[in-house]
Amino acid sequence: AAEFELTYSTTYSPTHPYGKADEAWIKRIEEQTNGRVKITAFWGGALINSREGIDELNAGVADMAYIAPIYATSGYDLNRLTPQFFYGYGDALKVLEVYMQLWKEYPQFAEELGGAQVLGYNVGTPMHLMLREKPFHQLSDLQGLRIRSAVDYIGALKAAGAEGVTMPMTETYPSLQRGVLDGVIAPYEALKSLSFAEVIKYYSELPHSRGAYPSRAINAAAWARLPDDIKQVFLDNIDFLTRTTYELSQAAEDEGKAYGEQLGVQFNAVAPEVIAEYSAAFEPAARETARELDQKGLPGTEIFEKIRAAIND
Amino acid sequence: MDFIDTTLKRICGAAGVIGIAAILGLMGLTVVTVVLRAMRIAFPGTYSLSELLLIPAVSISIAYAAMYNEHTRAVIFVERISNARLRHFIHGLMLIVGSLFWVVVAWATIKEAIRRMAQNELSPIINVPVAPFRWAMAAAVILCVIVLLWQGFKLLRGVPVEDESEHYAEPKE
Amino acid sequence: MTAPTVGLIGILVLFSLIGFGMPIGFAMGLVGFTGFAFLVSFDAAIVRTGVTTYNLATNYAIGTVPLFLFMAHILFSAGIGRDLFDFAAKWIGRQRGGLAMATIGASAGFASVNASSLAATATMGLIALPEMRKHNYSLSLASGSVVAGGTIGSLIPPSGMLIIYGILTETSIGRLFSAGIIPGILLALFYMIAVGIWCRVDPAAGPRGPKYSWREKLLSFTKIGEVLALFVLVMGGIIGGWFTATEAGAVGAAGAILIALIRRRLTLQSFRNAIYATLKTTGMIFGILFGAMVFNSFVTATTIPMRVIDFVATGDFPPMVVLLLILLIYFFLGMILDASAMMTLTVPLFFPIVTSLGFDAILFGVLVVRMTEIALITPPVGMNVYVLSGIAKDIPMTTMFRGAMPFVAADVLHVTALILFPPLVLWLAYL
Ligand code: NA
Ligand code: NA
Repeated sequence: AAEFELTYSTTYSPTHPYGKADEAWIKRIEEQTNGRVKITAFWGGALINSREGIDELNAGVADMAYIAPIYATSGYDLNRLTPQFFYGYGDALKVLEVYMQLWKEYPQFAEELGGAQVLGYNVGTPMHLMLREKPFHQLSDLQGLRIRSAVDYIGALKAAGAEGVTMPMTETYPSLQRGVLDGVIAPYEALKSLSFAEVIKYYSELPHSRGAYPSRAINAAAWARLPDDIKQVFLDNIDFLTRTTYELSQAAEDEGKAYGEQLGVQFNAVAPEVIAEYSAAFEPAARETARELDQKGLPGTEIFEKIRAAIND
Repeated sequence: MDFIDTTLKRICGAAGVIGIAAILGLMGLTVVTVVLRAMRIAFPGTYSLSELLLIPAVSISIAYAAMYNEHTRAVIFVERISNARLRHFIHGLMLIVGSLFWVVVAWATIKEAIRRMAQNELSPIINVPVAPFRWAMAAAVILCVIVLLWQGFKLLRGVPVEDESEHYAEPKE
Repeated sequence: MTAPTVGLIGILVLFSLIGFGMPIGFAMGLVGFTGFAFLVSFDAAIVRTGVTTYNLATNYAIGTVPLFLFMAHILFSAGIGRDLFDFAAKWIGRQRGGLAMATIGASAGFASVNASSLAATATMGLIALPEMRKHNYSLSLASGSVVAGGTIGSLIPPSGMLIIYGILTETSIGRLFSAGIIPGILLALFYMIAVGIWCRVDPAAGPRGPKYSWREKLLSFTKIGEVLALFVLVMGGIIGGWFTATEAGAVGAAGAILIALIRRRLTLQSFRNAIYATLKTTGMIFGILFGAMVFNSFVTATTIPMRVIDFVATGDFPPMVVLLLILLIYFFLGMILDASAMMTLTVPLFFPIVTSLGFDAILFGVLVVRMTEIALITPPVGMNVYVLSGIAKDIPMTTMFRGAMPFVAADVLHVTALILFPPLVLWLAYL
């Protein structure tokens, strides 16, 4: 038996790009530690939830876990709230670069996680607008539409006269199918993985950045049990896990797009001035969030300004 | 003993009204959303609000069901015990031991309520503080524990609980 | 002590506690918590319990259950359910077991507007069961047809289970929905045939009702106007895109109240009865679900399901043997786990094995969903039976499980038919 047996829990399954990345990473860790570490994975959210993932990780429900501070309902304020400052970004790698720089500059990000050591980061590929009836070209096209969306995008949708609906993902497919919804904000990949290509006709490339966030971590107790040389293997693989997750996600994006084309989904680009106009609607809410972070003694506005300045580089 | 019985019944009755209001509210909210949607009037926040309403609906119903002995039990073996006193004793013991699970749930709920309250947890979109709902859940679960302990205590002393007759009715087949 | 050993001990303790009459949900929760604390840690068990119970209490999809229950209680209180079965009694009551067949048929109909097996079971338990008892059906046939009927729903769209499978495996949800239709109808037929055979073997189980004239039969149509109106409202609303299947519970309950009011069949007293009964039934169901959620985490932590999967994955078996082994594993896991836990725990691991052996992802999906539903009626952990048991307290649970057995046998034949003739599943899916 291995010297160090660790459990890893994720809400994804091994067919999902994040799950595939996990599998590759687990294999690599086991190899590079010469079998001294053995990792047992629990898939599909069998052990740890996405909403309370960090809490459960820190309580020791599993030694390591996929975490998503952006889904938490409170706490982890910087990690949870700063991803929304990336509105308007269309290039995921650029987001990642800016975000990693911020993590280096502000130790507060790491301090929030209750002692957990981050083992990998995710950057979301931008999501776009999928619609049933007609493509999106200008903001007025959104008027009166009902669109399944993450909470962060609801304000901008509202500004354009659309209703953002936070319906659970499992409800979304039948709702698009029957017309309870007019559209959904989702990435290319969802055309295939969530079968949306079957129920929408138009894919309009209006970017909704998802920012970046720490996505895999090991809790303090499990981390403390590991000797330095093994810790080093994990640390050396942060970049591998981050990059693999991104590359596999990008591959899934391409696959999703190809699948959409095959099913006759019509793709269209959106004019840069329309994107800029739409993005501007995100600013007030983002500034407000930044101010709230400031009030808690966190560098909210500072980070906000840095992220906004970087988009223009 | 009668005093405790009546008091518990009154508390459960009052809680029951809140639970019923939550269920009716849930129904009303959904129907209103559907109607407004048909009129193309946006009503965001339905999902957030529904999730909040579900908390009292579900947790109070659990305490209420305990009061009226509605929680499903398998009585196949215990009903063969002919000595009523022993049967009640075992039933009471099982309720008291079983209430430990609800003690755990209450503990976990309170712990989380305290932590989340400090973090000022808000329900998305509608921005309603979630803490009162977490506390309501804790209160309902504690009520459930008290009801179970009281009923267990009564059974240990050989006093049957509500609906006991239904449980031990001889089925015809 | 190894984790699987702890798991087996936990299961033994669970059965003992249930045997001594501890409420089932409490026993599952207590064993689940203690076992998880023993295997992982006390702190982890507290947090896990808090997370799973809170998530259950705020789960929008499961939250539809109280509203479907409310609808059922209204239909029951207003006597509308009774009318439906009077109608059935007039038309097929003469047939042996006719009302049990009608129950199956009504369950299949209800399945087309509802995605929850528990809600379906509770509804038929309130509406169909009393009518079958009134017509002197055996308790085992009556309760068996109700709990089995409740499992049809996940094959007939809308189906939450098929969506979860689709998302977990990135399989086309549209195709899964189409794929479920023929097996769903076929299953209802298999169940009806099971009722027919049962009543042939034991004619007293579902006795013939009195004979009715054609005039009486035709007149009975006037009595089912309410149910038809409600069905058309809910079904039409879902198909027309006015509301989702989850919202259908609320619309159905409001519709039932409205219809009962218009037809002057609802008194304040019967409304009160209905809402208080809803509160009790909701508590009863969630009392079990709370415990089941905590117990699921324990079963996961025992690594028993994983080891069984490993056995299949690493063994060098021919493809058909692997598939059958997997179905067999589902059958046994289904004895102790609830449907959604079985799905999330096993599908991510079985799916790659099964598809790499050349089996169709859609076919496997339908089979898995079917297996997770059979789990609802097999002892000792059978959610549908627990739910019905809470509604019909005087019927022993063993009678219900015994009553479900012939339907489980029908299920085995049904699953066999799907494996032997995949077009039953795939024809509509790939049309
Ligand atoms: Na269904
Ligand atoms: Na079972």
